[in-house]
Amino acid sequence: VCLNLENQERVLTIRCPTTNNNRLFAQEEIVSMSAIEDTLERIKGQQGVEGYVICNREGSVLRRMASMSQGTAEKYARHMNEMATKARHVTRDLDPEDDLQNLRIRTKTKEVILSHSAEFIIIVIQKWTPYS
Amino acid sequence: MASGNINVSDVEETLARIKSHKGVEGVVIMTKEGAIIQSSLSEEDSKEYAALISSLTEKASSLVDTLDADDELNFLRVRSKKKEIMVAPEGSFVLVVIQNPNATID
Repeated sequence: VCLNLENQERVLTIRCPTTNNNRLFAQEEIVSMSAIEDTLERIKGQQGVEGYVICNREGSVLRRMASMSQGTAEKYARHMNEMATKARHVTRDLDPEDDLQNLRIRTKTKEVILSHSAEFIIIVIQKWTPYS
Repeated sequence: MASGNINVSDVEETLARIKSHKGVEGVVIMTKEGAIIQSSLSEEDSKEYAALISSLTEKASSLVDTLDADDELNFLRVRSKKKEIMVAPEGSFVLVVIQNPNATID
């Protein structure tokens, strides 16, 4: 991803890695880029967080926590995408006006939290112990 | 839940406690396959939930198995704009609680 700031219109251009097209974001979204970074820092700093992956709906990994390997990140991206689609269908079958917001899958040792939107999925993996 | 020393009144008490939580819209006990054992919802709602949730739980369970063969699904929470569905699988049974997450804000 390469960022160019065009002075006059204060428009942020990000080259989309998959299509190689330039995507233009409005000025409001310049603010949200640093908010994103802050949020990721906050998530990283939480105790017990083992990893995070940000991916698009096609399953391409956009960001991952440094301690995760690319292979692991892609595996999570692929599987959680399928899971998100299935959960979204359940939500919409129950109420067509409703939509999935997030999904938490808890196992014996960890919890995988998925935050869903139309374009992206954020996956966070954290350690989980009973009564913690 | 230790098997063998649960009696009916314990189950009823737990269900009553869950149902009395603010925002809880329904509680369903079903088998893994989606057969309803007990439900506080209408028959058709129960059937709808049971079918959808049992297949979603199955998918989640196999997802956990794929990510880590030693691990096991413990709990599942599906949150949408209007409701939150909590699923607790235990052996061959599944407990499902449907709540309105916005109702807990006073």
